[in-house]
Formats: sequence, C-alpha cells, structure tokens
Amino acid sequence: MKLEFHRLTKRYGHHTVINGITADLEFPHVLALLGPSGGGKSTLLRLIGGLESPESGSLSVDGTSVPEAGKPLRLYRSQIGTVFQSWNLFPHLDALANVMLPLTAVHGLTPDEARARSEELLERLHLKDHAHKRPAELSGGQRQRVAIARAVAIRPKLLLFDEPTSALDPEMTAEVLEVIADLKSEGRTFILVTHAMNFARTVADEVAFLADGQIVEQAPAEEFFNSPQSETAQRFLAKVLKY
Amino acid sequence: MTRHHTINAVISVLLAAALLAAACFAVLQALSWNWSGVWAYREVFWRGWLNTIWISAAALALSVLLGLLAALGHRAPYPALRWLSTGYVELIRGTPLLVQLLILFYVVADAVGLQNRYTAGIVILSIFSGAYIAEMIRGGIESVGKSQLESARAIGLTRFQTYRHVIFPQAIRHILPPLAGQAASIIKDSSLLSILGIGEFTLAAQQVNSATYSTLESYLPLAVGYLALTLPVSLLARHLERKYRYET
Repeated sequence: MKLEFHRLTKRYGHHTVINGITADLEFPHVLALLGPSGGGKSTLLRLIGGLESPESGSLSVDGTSVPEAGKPLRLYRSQIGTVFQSWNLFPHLDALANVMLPLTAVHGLTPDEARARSEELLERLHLKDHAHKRPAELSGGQRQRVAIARAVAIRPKLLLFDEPTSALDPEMTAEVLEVIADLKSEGRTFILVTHAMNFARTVADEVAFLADGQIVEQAPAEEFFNSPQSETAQRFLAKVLKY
Repeated sequence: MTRHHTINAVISVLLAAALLAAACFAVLQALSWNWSGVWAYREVFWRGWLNTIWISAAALALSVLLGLLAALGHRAPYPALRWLSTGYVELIRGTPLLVQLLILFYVVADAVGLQNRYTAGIVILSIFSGAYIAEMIRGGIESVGKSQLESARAIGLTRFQTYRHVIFPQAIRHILPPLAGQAASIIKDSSLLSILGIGEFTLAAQQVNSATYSTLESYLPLAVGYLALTLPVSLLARHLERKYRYET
C-alpha cells in the first residue's frame, strides 16, 4: 500500500490541524499513526478515508487520488472500512442488521448473500450468540467487534481504525486488539491510530509519527521504537513507555 | 407555612369552590333538563360527529405530508427552500387559526377558485397543523446524533438512503408521541371550521341548539363527543411516550 501526500492542509476555523504535509508512505500491510493528542493523527486518517476534505493539497491512495465530492467520493468511501473510537453502530438495528446494511444498501448483495456473509463473520468474531441483540444490549468490546465486522464485511481494500480501544476498559481492549491482530495475520491492509504503543509495536509494519500537523518521522516499526530519530519522538516515547 | 404552600392552599380552596358551584348549577339545571327535544336530532349529531372524524383524519394525513416537506425543506442544500420552510413555519405558528381560516378561506380560497368548503377547510387546517408537525419532525431528525451521519457517510450511503435507513427509523421515536398529541389538537381545532359553515360536529350542535333552544342539552353531548375522540388519542400519545422512553 502506498500513500502520497502533497502539501496537504486541513484547518478547522483558524486552527491548522494538518500543516502542509508532503510525504510518501509505503507499507506492506499495517501502518500505525502515532503521536501526541492534537497532533493530527485522527484528522489525517479521516482525510485518507474521505471523511474530511482538505483545504488545499492532495492525497492519493495506491496511485489514485481521493475524490473531492459527489458520487466518486461516495464510491471511494464505500470501498474503505472505517472503525471509529465510539463504534458508531446504528442503535435501532441489531448486530446482524448493522453488518448487513452496507452490503445490501451499497454493495448490491441480496439479503440472503448478505446474511450468510455477515453471520459467518459474526461467528468468527465470537458474536454468534449476540447477532440479534441491539448495540445497547452489548458490552463495549462486543460493540467494537460488531463495528469491525461491519467494516470487514464489505471486503475493503483498506481498513481504518481510529483509536479503536480508547473508549474501552483493559479487558475489552484486549479482546478488540486480538481481533485486529488476527486481521493482520489474515493479510489485510489497514491504518491504525492508537495510543496502545506496545500493540502498535507488535502489529505495525511501518510507523508515521505526527506532531503539530506534520509527519515528524517515518520508519519501520521496530526501528522507530528502538531508535527514534527526532527529539519530539524520543521525548514522546520516553514519556508514554515510562509506566 | 411557606409562601408556596399558601398559594397551593388558596388554589385548592378556589378549585373546590368552583367545583361546588358547578355541581349546584348542574343540579338546578337538571331539574329543568329536557332531553327529548335534542334526542329528536340525534341523527344530526351523529352525522356531524362522523364528519369531524374524517375531516380530522384527512387533515392529519395532509398535515404530516406538509410537515415532512417543510422539515426536509429546512435541511435542504438550497437557501431558497430553507427560507420558504422557515417562513411557512413561523408565519403559521405566529398567527391564530381563526385568523388563518378567515384570510385563507375568504381571500385566498376565493381567489384561486376553491369552491368546495370541505376541501378548503381541510387544506387550511392542514396548513395550520403542518407547521407544528414540521417542528416535531425537525426536532426528531436533529435528535439523531452527528456520529450516526458520519457512519452513514463512511459506509457510502446516499442522502436518500441515509434518511431511509438511519435518520427516519431513529427519529420516529421522537416524532410519534408529540404527533399523537397533535392528532388530538387537530380534532379539537376542527371545531373552528364551523364558522365556515362546514357541517362538522360543532356546527351540528349549534344547529340543534337553534332548533330546540336547549343550550346545555345541545352542547354537553358536544363536549362528550370530542372527549370520546381525544381521550383515546391522548392515552395513545402517553403510551408511546412511555414506550419509547424506556427503549433507549
């Protein structure tokens, strides 16, 4: 997978969140976006997912530039599976219907095909007994796994995880991270924004370190964690890995 | 005793006195009640009552449609549509139904050549009620969180699909309880159509009254007849409110 950014800029009002990033990122399967809060990780992820549009500059994913609006943008989004921090499931639909909706409404599967594919996925994520429960009846970890099933079911070319465990307690965090690690061993490609450093270290191939709206450093994961080059990254790692 | 308690006590005494007076009045009246005159006109009552039912039902259906259009117009990407919707809602909610009936019936309906007074009455009542329903629908739509719209976008749903699969199914629980209440309001407000000579329940009672000169015997069944319609609807509204409150 290859990401190319050219003078990419995103502002919210007067606040510049992504400050003219120009960079090429290449990674076999898993890229982790790391860095301090407010550094622009989540915004960059949302730009990659086509959920935000940049003020200026451009970005392309595997050689195709991300469409700016209209139907092309909608089609682009539909090929990417996004998992949000607070899962964002549809509360009026049960787990199975949540996973099925994109398949029938966007990807043109018949209800029977969608049901078969969704049930199989839910079973693999140990959610079979919860298929007919609504999000309110599920634990946080179960909700996040349903959200992952919804994102994976569409067979996306790229998965995006935006702090998928930040709203979960340690036990649920573990069950979600396990699922994400499994996705890697299945050979899926994804980009991960996370504060779980040890997890990023084990699962990521490549790391991009963001601070103040810039990619300060990019390196293979082991290299980044063993010998960070920039002073910002050194200070950040020393702080977060201390305890 | 606090000030609050004093006020409560005063209100209770006044209420009790009013009830007592009403009871005395009713007993005195009952001595001279004459139901036989009114009974002869039971057909008139019955027909008026049925007319009120179908007029209200038609007005409810039409006003839901108008309310939906206005609520969607309010969220439309075109400024002209947004202004039109806002103008409609504010204009109608800011003026009395009686005034709207007079203007829309004697000026507008006349000008556009709308001759049938039943049709005109239903349309005017719907325009009035639609403005309130628009606000209910708008509130329901806005109660659906931003993260839900974000999810819908991430999945790749179209605008129409987002309304159909995500917004409306969630908004309906916020819309239904006040909508049931609005249905009761329509039934009551339809009594004003009597001033346009539309043969609904209130006009029927007025006709019976002028034929029999028995005022209370004409208007007491009128009140009871409206209650028989609005009470079940109000109970339904309360039931819906409770049901949806516990489900979230």
